[in-house]
Amino acid sequence: MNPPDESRQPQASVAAGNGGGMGMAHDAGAPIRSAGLVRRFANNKAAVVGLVILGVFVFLAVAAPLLTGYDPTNQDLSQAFLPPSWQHWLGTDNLGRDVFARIMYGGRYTLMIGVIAVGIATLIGVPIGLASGYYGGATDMVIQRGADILLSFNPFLLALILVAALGIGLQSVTIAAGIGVLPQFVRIARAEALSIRETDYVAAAVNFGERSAIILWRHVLPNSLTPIIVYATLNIGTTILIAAGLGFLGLGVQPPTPEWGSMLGEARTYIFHAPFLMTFPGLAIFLAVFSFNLLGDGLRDALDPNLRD
Amino acid sequence: MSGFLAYVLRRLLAAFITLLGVIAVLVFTFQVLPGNPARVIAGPLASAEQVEKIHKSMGLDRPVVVQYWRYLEQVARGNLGTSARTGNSVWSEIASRLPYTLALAILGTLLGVIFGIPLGILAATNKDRWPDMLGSMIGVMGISMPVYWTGILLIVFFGVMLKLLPVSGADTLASYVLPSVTLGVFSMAIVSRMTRSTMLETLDQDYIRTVRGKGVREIVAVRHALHNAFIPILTVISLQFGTVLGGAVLTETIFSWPGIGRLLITSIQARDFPMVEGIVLVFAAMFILVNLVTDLLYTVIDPRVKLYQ
Repeated sequence: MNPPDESRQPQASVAAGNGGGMGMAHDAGAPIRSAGLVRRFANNKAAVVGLVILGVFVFLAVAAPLLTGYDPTNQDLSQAFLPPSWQHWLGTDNLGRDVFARIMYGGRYTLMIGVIAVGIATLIGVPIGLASGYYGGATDMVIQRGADILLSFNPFLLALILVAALGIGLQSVTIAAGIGVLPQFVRIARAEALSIRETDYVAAAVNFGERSAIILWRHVLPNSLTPIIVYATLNIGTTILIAAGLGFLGLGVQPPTPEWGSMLGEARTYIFHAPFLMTFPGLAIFLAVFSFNLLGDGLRDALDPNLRD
Repeated sequence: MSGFLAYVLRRLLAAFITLLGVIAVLVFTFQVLPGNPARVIAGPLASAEQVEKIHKSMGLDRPVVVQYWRYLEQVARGNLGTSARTGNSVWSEIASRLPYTLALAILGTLLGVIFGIPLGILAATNKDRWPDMLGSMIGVMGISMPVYWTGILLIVFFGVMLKLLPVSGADTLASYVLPSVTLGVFSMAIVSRMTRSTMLETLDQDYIRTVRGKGVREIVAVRHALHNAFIPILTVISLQFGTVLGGAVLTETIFSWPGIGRLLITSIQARDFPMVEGIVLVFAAMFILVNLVTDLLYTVIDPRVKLYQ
């Protein structure tokens, strides 16, 4: 695991607090100015490194069939436990499968789970959080107590019991990882709505008699996007760690599907016999999560200098 | 002081309500589980009638609300039910293992605080210079390392290659080293990131500028800042405790640690639902308790915080 990085919640909430001020600064729905944005992002070496690593992974995942002749699930016991060589760049596993091919194809599952899980958390969590902050009162209280309850499980444990309930497999792992981080999205969106609610343009919209749903959609949502995008990027790393952690425990994506976490779990059995087997899936998970974290930090600095640490 | 007492009571009540919610989530989640606990208890040779009998005697045929109420009654009496796998009391199985999990979580958190806070301060006081770059990089790498990979790497290096430290069990003091370090790396990364951003924010405040303007040595200004940055750092330490508990589940599995985290995984695999419910409840209760204590500590540590007024 590693999950479940609750530390980001306060960190992002601190950021969200600052973001409120920025929300007031530009007009409702004003597009984020992009000229300075690209420059600021490009100047951030760490963020560019993150983008490059991610780009390599996406390329390997998409072009896997062109880059290797090995089938990631094809077993050949006569070729088992071969150390890295010219023929098998990263060696072969206990069933003689090419590890490099499995890492490349595995990227498809790992990256997809991360992105879709965060998509689920954003699509469900953000509207709930915005409504909670905007309407306040009893709605807010009920939603926040609900978030408190889910937060006390911590994301990894929440995902773990959901997988136990939903059954093991690609789909349930993705949903479980998404729901695991969902309460934090509710919190972030709520903090944003709370400060945007107090702005003059929202007050003006209310005076013009616009309906609450329209105000939420046209004014509150666009102005809360910056911290939400940053938070979502950082959380793709977290959901990857959760999903791979479940795979590692044998409760995630099932073999022979080449998912990095389950590859690492299988390799653990041969830790004394073939330690190189656990090097590459672990390194792949680390680098993928690392790239999203660098990217998230870089986006935060570029999208809104106010949020800078 | 009566205001403080009222605040304590209000926080206790909120924590209690959250706990009730946690139990509700657990009971409702496991109600939809595909496996039948009665079948697990009855064993593979039991007839359909026998399974049915156990199913009824466990109250599994009753509506969820009734099951919830019964479980609450049970918990209020200090009874977490009976393990479907071993037939022992869930609480006694948890109680015998809990000290190991707590020891691991506390040691991991301590390591995180001991190394994370100085690292964060060092980075903040040298903003944009090499100690900051190095510190920030260590922070991002630390939160990106899957604990299950950190653990395996430590096992391979210190256990298999150097043969310096034990890699499983909790028999000697030396066996605490690798699991605590595994958890400590992640905890350190979170604490150092938060310490850095909080310190940066505080060092930028007017009163610190005033202190600096008086021409005092930098260390005096840092001490002033640290004093005020302490509350957010404390919040993160308490929030990341939940993350550490989640990490403990994986760490314990890797190091065959005799705590409740490993018991949780074996219980999920054996579909021992009463045990799973009991363990997750204990995890959540610990998290709620730590946060409650932190909240109350604020009012003692920081005279500015008067939450109870």
